[in-house]
Amino acid sequence: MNSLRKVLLVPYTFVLMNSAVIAGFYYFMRGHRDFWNAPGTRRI
Amino acid sequence: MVEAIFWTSLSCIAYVYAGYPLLLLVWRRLAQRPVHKRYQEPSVSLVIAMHNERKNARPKLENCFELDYPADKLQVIVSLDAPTDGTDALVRDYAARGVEMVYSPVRIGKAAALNRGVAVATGEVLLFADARQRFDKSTVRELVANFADESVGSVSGELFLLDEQGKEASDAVGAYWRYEKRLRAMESDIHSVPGASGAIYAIRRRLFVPLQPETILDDVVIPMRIVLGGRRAIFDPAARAYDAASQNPELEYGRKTRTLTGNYQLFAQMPELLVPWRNPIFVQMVSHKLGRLLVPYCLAALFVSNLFLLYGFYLVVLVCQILWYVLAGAGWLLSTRGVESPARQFQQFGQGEKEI
Repeated sequence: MNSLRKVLLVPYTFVLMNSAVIAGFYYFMRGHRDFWNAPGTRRI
Repeated sequence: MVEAIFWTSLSCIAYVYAGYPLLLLVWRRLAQRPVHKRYQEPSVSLVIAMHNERKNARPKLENCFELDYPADKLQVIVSLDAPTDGTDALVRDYAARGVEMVYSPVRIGKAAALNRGVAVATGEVLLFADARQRFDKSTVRELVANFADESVGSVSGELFLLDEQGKEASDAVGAYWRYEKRLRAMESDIHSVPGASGAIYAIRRRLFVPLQPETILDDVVIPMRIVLGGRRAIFDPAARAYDAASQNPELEYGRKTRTLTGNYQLFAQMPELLVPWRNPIFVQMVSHKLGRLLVPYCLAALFVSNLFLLYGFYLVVLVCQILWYVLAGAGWLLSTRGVESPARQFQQFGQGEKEI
């Protein structure tokens, strides 16, 4: 079961991190500069 | 036309993840430039910018006192950017032990906080660190030994991400991170790494130029200015820092986004990085940094173009792509059900460190 999870997390990681490129472009275009708290971070 | 889009996209993705590492492998064999390291004890100013670091400030400063380096040659500076959680009170407790504090009552951002910290630095070498990571005892010694080589202007150490057992993170994220560090090591052997780890890097103080206040990736801008100035920005895995893997997926994703936002800003602020005759590591910059920014768009173009090519080899590729995204969706479902998430494990290469 653990092996299966690891296999599934590889494409998920790849897609997630590539989506961060798009998000990064969005924040750059919006002029976001305050990164002490990263964009998209929810306070919990 | 559709075929051209398909093959261009596929070639770009293949080059970024496989072609470029192979190129580095060959390049390093043909043109390796060793660093002439020699142990020495120049004065060092350790600059740490902090905002709200109540949890990390004390362990970080205690770690500074554990370093194997003469105390009279190690200046520790904490530049506080309007903390609201009592970090300033914690840091003040260390004033008697020689820690110098620079305080801004209003938010000025990390880059401006670093500028203020560097303004009071007196060491020949500036060492930058973040609040969260811990150094090995020998880290400072290992880093500064590289400055015996006059061609070196900046040195980045290696950041290890540790799991709850204290072992280096494995699985998908761990594998990716090892791949990334391997790339950096090869780039360093050839000339320079296009960036450093914000958690652990040092430069010659005389090469420091104040950052623009809105700068996001100080750990890329500072080393790249040094490279453009004619010196090397190397990676030394003998200098080590450690960080705990975060348990917060949103935080990790946010950090990654920060790094990539910073990459867009980097090219906007320093367009000369994309001029081959200005940037001595133009190939590395384009392949490593710019290439990573292009990959998601290439992935989209590959998929869409593939929808119009439904025969032979193209059909096989389309099926593989669909399968890949279905598996990614399944991975996402697993992660949202509380199973180990890659985002949870994905730590930045310092703050500016992980590239996809």
